[in-house]
Amino acid sequence: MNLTEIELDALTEVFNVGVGQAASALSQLANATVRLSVPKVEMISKQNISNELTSQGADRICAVRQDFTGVLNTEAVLMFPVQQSLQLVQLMVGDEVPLEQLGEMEQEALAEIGNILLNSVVSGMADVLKMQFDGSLPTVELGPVADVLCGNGQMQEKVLSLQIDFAIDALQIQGFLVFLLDVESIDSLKTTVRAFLKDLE
Amino acid sequence: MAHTLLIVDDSKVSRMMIRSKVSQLQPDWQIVEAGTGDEAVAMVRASAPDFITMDVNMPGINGFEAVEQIRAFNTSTKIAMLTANIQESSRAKASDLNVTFVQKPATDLAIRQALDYFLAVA
Repeated sequence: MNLTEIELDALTEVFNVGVGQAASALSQLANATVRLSVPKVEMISKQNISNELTSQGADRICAVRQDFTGVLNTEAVLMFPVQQSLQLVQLMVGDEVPLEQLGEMEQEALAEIGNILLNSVVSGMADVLKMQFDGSLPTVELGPVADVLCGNGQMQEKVLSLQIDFAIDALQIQGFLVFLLDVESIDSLKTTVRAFLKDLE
Repeated sequence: MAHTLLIVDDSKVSRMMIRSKVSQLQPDWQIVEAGTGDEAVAMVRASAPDFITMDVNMPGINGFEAVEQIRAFNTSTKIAMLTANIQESSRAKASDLNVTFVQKPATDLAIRQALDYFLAVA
């Protein structure tokens, strides 16, 4: 069930390439320099992610979810603390809209940002690991961490988690991108990553 | 002619990918690797390679900072910055430092592009 160090290193590289492409797309949208990086990829429990987000003072989070189906089936969930997600939207849509009036645009803008990020990450993974995925439309959700992460299932369940560091101008945000994978999908992911690494030898 | 290439990347897998593709295309090249920008600067100082592929996002000094340091004592090595994130601000920086950009992931096409740049007659 767990991934080895070199397998995680392979995924970290794949994901960094993905978010790099997303940063490039988002910088055009925001007309600013965007830096995105994935410092850490790990298999951890939902409870651990919830603890990390809560320790940042984020009781409520904003999440963009998208289903991907293919060689493996996964639900990808991108999560930011609510307050920071508002600032992110403001940077994207420009300063002329005051923070209080962002409500209506917020969900739409977040869905778009999430869509760019999730698709870059998943298509990066698809390109490098030679897999194919179909994606659903993104949906946006706001709520307590546990509710968003645990609509169904247990807080002890392990997920593939990417810590995402996001910086636009002076704003720095730390979010998480979580892939909810069932046991079969974890197996296919492992098999694919192993085959990829074997090819490099 | 056998050339030397220094691959700079904090990810072992990324170095493996680049090495595997380069050695398919140029089997007689001598390839060395560095896992950090600092290590790369020290290696170039000790013995300058003909070419460098430089990752941009690395812990410690980033790829641009490493190239700035290298350019302070070496202007002849041809350098390709490998990154997925090519933005306007970094393009300007790249032209100042006399390096080129190659888009990550390190696909066959991307590596060919880097090699074409390295082998083009100045």
